[in-house]
Order: sequence, then C-alpha cells, then structure tokens
Amino acid sequence: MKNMKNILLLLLLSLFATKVNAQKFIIISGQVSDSLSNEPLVGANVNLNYGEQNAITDKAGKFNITALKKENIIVVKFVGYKPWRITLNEKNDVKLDIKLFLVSNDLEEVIVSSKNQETNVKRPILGVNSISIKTLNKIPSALGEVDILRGLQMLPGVTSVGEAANGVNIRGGATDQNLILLDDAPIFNPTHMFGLFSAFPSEAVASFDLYKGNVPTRFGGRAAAVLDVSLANPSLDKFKMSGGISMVSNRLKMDIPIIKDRLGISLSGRAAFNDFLLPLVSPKLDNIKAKFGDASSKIFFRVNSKNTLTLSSYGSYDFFQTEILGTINEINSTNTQYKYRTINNTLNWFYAINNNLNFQTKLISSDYSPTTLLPELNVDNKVKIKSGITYKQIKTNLNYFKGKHKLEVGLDAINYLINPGELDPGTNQNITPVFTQHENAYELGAYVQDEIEVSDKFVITAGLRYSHFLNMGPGSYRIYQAGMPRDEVSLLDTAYVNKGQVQKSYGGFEPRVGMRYQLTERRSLKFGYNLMRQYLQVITNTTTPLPTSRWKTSDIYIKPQVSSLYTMGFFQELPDNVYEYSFETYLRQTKNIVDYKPGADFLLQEYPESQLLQGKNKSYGFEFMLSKKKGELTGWINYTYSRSLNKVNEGPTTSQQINQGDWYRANYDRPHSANATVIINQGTHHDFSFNFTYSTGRPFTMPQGYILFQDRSYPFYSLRNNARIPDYHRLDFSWNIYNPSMDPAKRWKGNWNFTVYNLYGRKNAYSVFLKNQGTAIKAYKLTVFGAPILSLAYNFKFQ
Amino acid sequence: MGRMKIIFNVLKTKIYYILVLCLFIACVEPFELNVITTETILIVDGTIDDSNTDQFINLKKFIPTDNSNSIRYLPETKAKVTIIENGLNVVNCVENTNGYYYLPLGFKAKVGNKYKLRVELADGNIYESSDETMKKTPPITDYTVVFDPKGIKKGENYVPAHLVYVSTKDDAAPGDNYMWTYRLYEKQTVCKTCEGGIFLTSPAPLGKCSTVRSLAEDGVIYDYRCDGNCWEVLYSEELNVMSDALSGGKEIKNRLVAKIPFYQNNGFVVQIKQQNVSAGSFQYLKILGNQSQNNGTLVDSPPAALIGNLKNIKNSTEAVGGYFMVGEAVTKSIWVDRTDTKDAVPIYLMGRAAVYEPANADGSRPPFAPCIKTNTRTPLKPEGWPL
Repeated sequence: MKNMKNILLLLLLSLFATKVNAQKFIIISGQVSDSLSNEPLVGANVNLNYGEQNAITDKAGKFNITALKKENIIVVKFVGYKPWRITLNEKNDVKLDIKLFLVSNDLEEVIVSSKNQETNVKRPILGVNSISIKTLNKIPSALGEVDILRGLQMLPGVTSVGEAANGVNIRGGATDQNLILLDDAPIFNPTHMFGLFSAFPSEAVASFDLYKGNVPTRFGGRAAAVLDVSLANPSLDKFKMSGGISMVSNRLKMDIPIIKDRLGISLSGRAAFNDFLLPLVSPKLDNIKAKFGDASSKIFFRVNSKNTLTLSSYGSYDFFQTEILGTINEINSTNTQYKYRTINNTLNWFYAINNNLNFQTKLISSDYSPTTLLPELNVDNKVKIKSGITYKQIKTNLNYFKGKHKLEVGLDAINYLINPGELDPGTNQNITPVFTQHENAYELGAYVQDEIEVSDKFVITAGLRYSHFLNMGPGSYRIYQAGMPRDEVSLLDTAYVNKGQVQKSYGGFEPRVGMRYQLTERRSLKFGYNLMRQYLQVITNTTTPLPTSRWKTSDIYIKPQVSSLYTMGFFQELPDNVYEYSFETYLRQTKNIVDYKPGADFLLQEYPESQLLQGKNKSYGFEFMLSKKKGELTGWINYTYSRSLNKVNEGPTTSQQINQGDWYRANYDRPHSANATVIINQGTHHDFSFNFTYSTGRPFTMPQGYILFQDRSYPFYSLRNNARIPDYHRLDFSWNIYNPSMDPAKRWKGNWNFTVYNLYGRKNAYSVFLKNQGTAIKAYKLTVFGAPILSLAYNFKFQ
Repeated sequence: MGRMKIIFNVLKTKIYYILVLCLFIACVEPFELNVITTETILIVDGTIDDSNTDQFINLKKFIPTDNSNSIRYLPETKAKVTIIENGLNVVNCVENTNGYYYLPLGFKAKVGNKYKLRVELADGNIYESSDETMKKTPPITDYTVVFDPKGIKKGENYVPAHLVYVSTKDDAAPGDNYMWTYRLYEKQTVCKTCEGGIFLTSPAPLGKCSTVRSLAEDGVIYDYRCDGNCWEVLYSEELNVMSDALSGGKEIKNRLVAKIPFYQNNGFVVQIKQQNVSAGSFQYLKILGNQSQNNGTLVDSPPAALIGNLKNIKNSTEAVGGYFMVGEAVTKSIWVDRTDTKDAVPIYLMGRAAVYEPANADGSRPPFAPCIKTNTRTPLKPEGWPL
C-alpha cells in the first residue's frame, strides 16, 4: 500500500517534472548502519524534506529515493539511535553511508545533576540540584538575560512570591533562610532591579549547586538551603573572549593567560545604563530611572605542583527610582531612589599535601551597602538613609580520601559588622540626623564530615557541626517586664555592654546525616536528617525584602532560628540512563521564625524587638521529578506539593499573637506547583526550548469587614493570609541559533537567542489588594509581566 | 561614522524596547474580588477638637454580607454616650439621628485636658476608650502651591492638579504626631441637574425635576444655574499623618497636604486643618493608610488587624472599629487663583462641561436652582474667598 503511494507520488512528480524540465531528478541512495558494529540497520526511517517522501531501509540497511534536483533535507531515524540529518545540494545522483549513534553511547547531557559526575541515584545525599550553565543558556529567560534564580525556580521545591521577588523560597523557607554564596562570599541581595534579574554574572559562572536537603557541614548560618555558585577559573593557555548584547544589558568576559599554565586572569562585566535616554523617547518616562551593572574577576596562580592561589572578586551596583516600592512617610520628598552595591573578595589557598590529603584556607570579605535617597522639593539636596553589612570570614579545612572514607574537617569564623541605618539629612537643617546602634557579632564553627562506604549498597554521610554565636558590645539594650509585650509600657531599664564584652551568646550542635541504600544498580533509597542554626536574618514585614531591608543578628531578644529537616527519597534510572525519576518527601520544623506586629516599622528603628514576634514554622512536601538526559529532546518535568505554615503565640494579649495564636499560611505557601522544561536539539546549529510553570496563587489577606473613619469606609482585616490570589502559570519559548556562518574553523563564533517570555500573555497576579478610591473601595490586581515579552540577544565567543 | 550609526541604532532599539517594557511591567488593573465578610463590628467614629463646628460621635455596626458589592452599616441607636473630661466632668451626648450623638453646642476640648469616651449600648455592653490628652498644635507657618500638569495619577493617566505644601514648626518636646485634612471650596454654578426631565421651582424651597418623556427617551441631561453664589465643599480623601521622629523640634517643611484636581478655571479656597494627635491615633491612622491607600506596591506589608483605643470592658478581645481621637485644630485658608494652569484642560466638577436647558422665547425658562446648604454645598462665602 505504502509502495503504491510512493509510486503514485513519483508518477505525479515525474509528470510535473517533464512539463518543466526532463532532467530534474536525482536518486539519493545509501546504507544505514550502527556506528560501532557497522551492522546494517533494518527498518530505519528515511525521510525526505520533512515528509515529502518516506523510505524504510531493507535487509541490507539500504534505501533509494528519487528526489527533485534542488536543496534536499534527509533525516534518518531509528529507535534507540540519535537521529541523523543532512542537507544536500547535489546536481547528480548521490550515495550516502550513514552511521547512526546509539543514544545510550552518547555522553550524558548534564542538565539536572550535580557538578561531580555522580548520578542522582548514586549520590549519598538528598536534595541536591543543579542546572548546567549550558542548559541555562538554552532555556528561555526573562528579557534575554541568563538567570540562575529564574532557572532554579524550574526545579521542584523552589518557588517565589512572584515575578518581582527579591529571592526564592526553598522548601517552605523564607528568602533570608538561604545562604547564597558566590565563590564562598555571601550575596546579601541576589537580584538587580528589584527581582527582575539575578545579580550573578552569568557569563563568568561555571556551575552552581543548590542544597535543599542534606547540607554539607562546611556550610552553616542559614536555616533552609545553600546555593553555592562558582566562578569559572581563567584559561591558562589561550586568550578567550566571550560576550553578548541583549535588549537589556551588554556583557563581556575575557580570559587572559599571563604565564602559560601557571597564571591567568579572567575578567567579566555586565552593564545596563541606557535609561538616561528614556525621556527623549517619551516624556512619560522621565520618572523612571534604572541602571545596574556587575563585574567579577578571578586570578588563578599555580605556585607549584602542590600549591595554588585564587583570588575572586565580585562587585555589583544598582540604582533605580520608582513609585512601585512605596515611599518614606516621615521625610517630605518628591521621589524615592534606591542605590545599592556589593563588593566581595575571596582568597583561596589550596595545598595538596599528597594525593589523598589536601588543605584549603580561605579569606573572605563581603560588603553590602544599600542607600535610600530622597530628593527634596525645590532644593538640590537628597536626604540619605544608609545602612550596611561588613562581613569577614576565615575558613580552613582538611580533606582526606582513603579507602572507604572521604573525610573533611574544618574551622571557620565570621565577623558581622552591621550598620542598621543612619539618616543623613544633607543640607536640610530641619531633619535630625539619626544613628542607630551598630551591631558587632561573631559566628564560629567547627565541623567534621565523613562519607563512609559501608558496603557496595550502603553509603552513609555523617557530619557534625558546632556553631557558636556571640553578640558583642559596645552597646545598650532594653530590659522589659517579663511576659509582657515588649513596648514602652513594659520598659523597665536600659543595660549597657562594654566593648569586648558579650551581650548574648548562643550555640549548639548541628548534626547532618545522609544515607543511601542501593536497592538495585539503578534504584536507590535515601534518608536524610539535617539541623541548621541561623543567627542573621532580614527583618522586614513586606511580601519580599527590599534591597534596603535590614539585616539583624540574634541578640538578647531575637533568638536564633533552628531548623530540623527530615527527608526521604526514592531514585530510579531507566536502562541506558536516558530517563531518571525521583520522589522526595520532607518535613521541616523551624523554631524562632520571625514575624511582625501589625504596622511594624524597622526604618531607623533602635528597638526592633518591639516590632517583631517569634514563633514556629512547619513545612512539608512531596516532590516528583522526571528528567530525560539524552537524545534530541532533553528536559524535565516535576510536580511539588508543599505547605508552609507559621504559628506565633508569644503571650496572652492580642499584640503577642498572630491569627489568635493559630497556624496560618506563610506568605509563600503555594501548595501545588509544576514545571516542565523541554529542549529540542536540532543538530549543531539550533535548538528550541520551552518552559512551562504553574503554581497555586500565594496567600493574601482579605478583609473580614469594613469600618469607618471620619465617615469614610475602610477595609477591616483580622485573620492574616485567609485567601489566595489567582493561580500562576506561564509558558516561555526560546530559539537559539548557533554559529550562523556555519564555519567551524572560525575563531569567532556567534549565536542568536530569541526568547518570548509569557508566550500566551497571561496577566498573572503578583498581588491583589483593596484600595480606597475617592469614597469607594475597589479591588485591584498588580501584574508584573502582563504580556508576551520578546527579546533578542546576540552572544559570541572568540577563542 | 558608520559604526557610530550602528551604535546609535542599537541604543535606539534598546530604548524603544525598554519603553514597551515599561508599559507592560507592573500594571495595575481592577480585579473581580468576592469579599465575603464574616464579622459584625461595632464602629465608634469620633474626633473632638476646639473648633466652632458641631462635634459628634458616630456609632454604627458593620453587618457582614456575602455580596461583595455592598457595604452595610446599621446605626447603633439608643446608646448612652458620654465624654469624661479629666476623669471628673461628664459630658452627655444627645442622639440626633442614625447613630450620630452630638456634644452640647459650644463644646470645645481644651489643650492639656484628658478625655475618655464611654459608650453604653442598648444591649448593655459598655465600651471605654483610653484617656486621650488634647495636645497643642503649632500654627502653619508657611505654604507653597505648585501646579503640576501630572499632579494626580489615575490608573495609567494623569490629572493636572495644584499641589499644596505646608510648613510648621514642631514643638521641641518629642512625641508629636500630626494629621492633616482639608476642605476644598470650589465655585459651583450648577445647582441642579435633571436627567430626562426639566427643573421646576415648586414645591419651594427645593423644587424638583419633572420627567419629560421625550427627554427621557433621548437620555437628555439638563443643568440649572444657581440662583446666587454657591460653593461646592469637597473633603480630603486621603489619610495624611506624620510623626516628628525625624524632625524633633525643627521645622517640618513642605509637607504635601492636598492635591487639588484642576476642576475649573475659577480659583479655589482650600482650608487646611492641622492637628497634633496622640501616638496611638497616629499608629492607627498610619496602619489604616498603609493598608488602604499606600498599598499596591511590590512590597506591601500584609494588612493586619487594627487595634483601636476602645475596648468592651467585659470582653477585651472583641474587635472594635474606629478610634476616639482628640487634637487641637489649627486651620489655614489658602486662595489659589489658578492663573498658572497654562494649556491644561480642566476636568470639571461634574466630570463634564455643563449643559444648560435652552432658553425659551419668552425667557420664562430655564429657572435658577437654589443653593441648599448641605455637607457638600454652601451659599455662604468661605473664609479666604477674595471677592
């Protein structure tokens, strides 16, 4: 039947052809065989010009196609093999010798796994995720800016409060419960332009790992998760340059070898400074100002065969003026502007004592300083509210590998110097300068961890960390009547602490255990337990922290947050390692989470303990993930059910409780979420990819009645987070075209990236709120990206 | 040169892109929200001061409903409302109508005295406020009025407006909290509007609209001129409070206290009222404002239960809406002639230009409409009106 169809088609074609030109045909024939065994492949499908004609290989793996003399595309497919394609421009008959590669022999495309080559099934710890930078470059990103934080949100257990979130929520944790490290230095504000872009220099990042289950004992200080981002080492043998231009920013990275194989430097930078031209386009835009940039450098020096030194530096800068972040009521200004910068440095000395033993010491500093600027009416003056964190750390560890053990021991010490806020009135004589008491604190840690291969099937990672926290003088603190709300009424006295004296100390052990039991070669079961202590937190009562939000160390009133996480997982690889799926479930209980009294205000607040309440959080969830790691189509799909609930009940009065002391939903409690990422690799010159994401709308507070003030109605709220905003979903598309010149020998390689974010233009709600408009109260929805957003980026590599 | 052109073109493309982006990013639009209210709330709404105007306490009860489009209050009648001055003098209020309880004529709160509100409802429940001390309010020392063609943002558009800024000298002692409200007087020329009909002056004094079928069918609206001078009275719609935490004892300069839409080419008088209120009232109003007018930003604080200063003496956990407030009132009347509006287009008091009934041949129609004194209209020339 099929042959009949082919013959008919051929007849038709020849009729048509004879009319035009008798010499219009060529014959394409060939043989299809296995690339390794050279065995002919019987029944392989040979397709001409995407369906114009189809042929099936015979017993000898051979086929014959008669085609028009023009550009012809042949695609050969066979189950279990990678598809093969060619574009022909032959004028005469052509014979092809086609070798197909088995998919299972193909190198695994690392899309969702860790940087070491261990597969998820084999790795002894749970809840470690990563996306390779290569994949990240392929999947759609907002506005063409490659973005680690947005990529992470495609993984199970990672959500955010919305598109303008200044951080992510991992397994029911708050944004500040994640430790974000860039070459070991902490990033206090991970985004540019208030959540629109992540602050990592994507060009310079080599890899990143997200630890949301078992966290190695070398990390400490945050309660939920660790995002460990590493900058790429410079090339030591060849000058390389890469960069790009997107609709938003311009990027450039250079690798400069200085002494071949010994010393090299890499420099990278990204900048978006085009806003000053906005008013020229439309006077409507003269109120919008936004600039940002970041830069990084890494120097690598191989001192000798045993010693290396690396120095990583990172800086970022942001400036924006907007009405959408609110303003400061107590200062009369025409506008609100935000300016913040980060400067980080990490010096790492690596000493390989022998093949089994190495020793590393790191000196780390981080400086984060946000400023709010308030320009005044009719005068050339800006009132400034400055704050800052200075972070210094020394960290040393010893790694030992022998037989069935992988042992790591280490020590670290951190000093935090925090300026919670100071008001600089500039030339304004009428505003009193305000200074708040600086905070000085130490966090000390000692840890040990061993990965023991008990048997072929059973591997255990057991670790113990001890952390100790000291809040130091000089300074004063208030003493309140015990059991009463901390306010002016219960204030008894003020106590003083001298320089060098300890105001309050906390400490404790942090056991971390991970176990893997191999059920079969491709199937494993894992268990994990993790305890983490957090002594530094953002205190803000907004849905997502502002870049200027205040960081606060634990003190006599603010107790450290302590989180225990229990996890369990099942991991399965399918034959040929093409597919992998996993189920993970977790329960996390956190003590001393921070929540806020109604109307809490932390701006220049000398006594933050009077504005906040502490309670507990209970988070639990179930995550399913299926990934396809090889072949023409790669990607993953996942579903997460998760809950995050808080309970705050410090005492019997209403001001010591939230929601009458009952459990209530955390701001980022989104029970259902599902993500899918698909990458369709179309040979070496282009690929397509899609992202789809869905999640339950986050909670918001709906009024339970209305009240009057001066004869005007206002909504009356009583129970927090008692309703939900509409569900969120979005589809993105991206198309990458690589090396359009098609010349593989060229040193300059360019590629184009075309992205449509929010393909079907859903107006996803970021928030829902009620607002008094004149005499009426109306409900509104705030949307961040309410339309499909097209972007085009050009990237290049020169090497 | 060619390269420069390319760079310029790239920049231009980016600018257009950012322009388009800005239109998409962070847009606010109305949302169908079905608010199902569940709580019956007693509301005590009253502010007393030393002004010459009538002073009253408004008692209402909010009645929950599952229809989100209606807000229903019932007046709380037959209550016994008293104000206790310095814990001694009891001032009884007299119920007028609809839950409004008036203080005796001529009552003026005095600076330095303490006032407590006590409400005994018909059902026997007794509510008491905390003691509120009447604080001295410093005078308004200066003001500035600036015309801004984009003064008021309404959705994606702007309404031209005059922005009124005032300055005052804060008292040296800390703990002052200011509240500003205003009354706006606009010259009103239209005293009556009839939809689908014409205005008849009888029955006096109000007259009435009489339906005319042909006009009703065509949806015709006629406006009628006032029979004399008439002013529309409009009130501030936004809560405006500020503490002296950052200005302790110095001048508070250029506080924006009113945004007056460019209603018409005639000038206006705005009467700014400044009051020094208690720390508790300030906190209450600040939260009230944050969750009803300053919200809608990317970083809203979640709204929370508002705790006022009235409590049921038998059940302290009952939520009582409203705040009993005391504060000396200092006012300033400002005349603005609106000659600085250049090419701006007025938005009109009625939201449209007036359409008068055409005059008939004998001049008997149209008649004038009376200017009736109400909360929102007055024939009495306001203080500060120049002519």
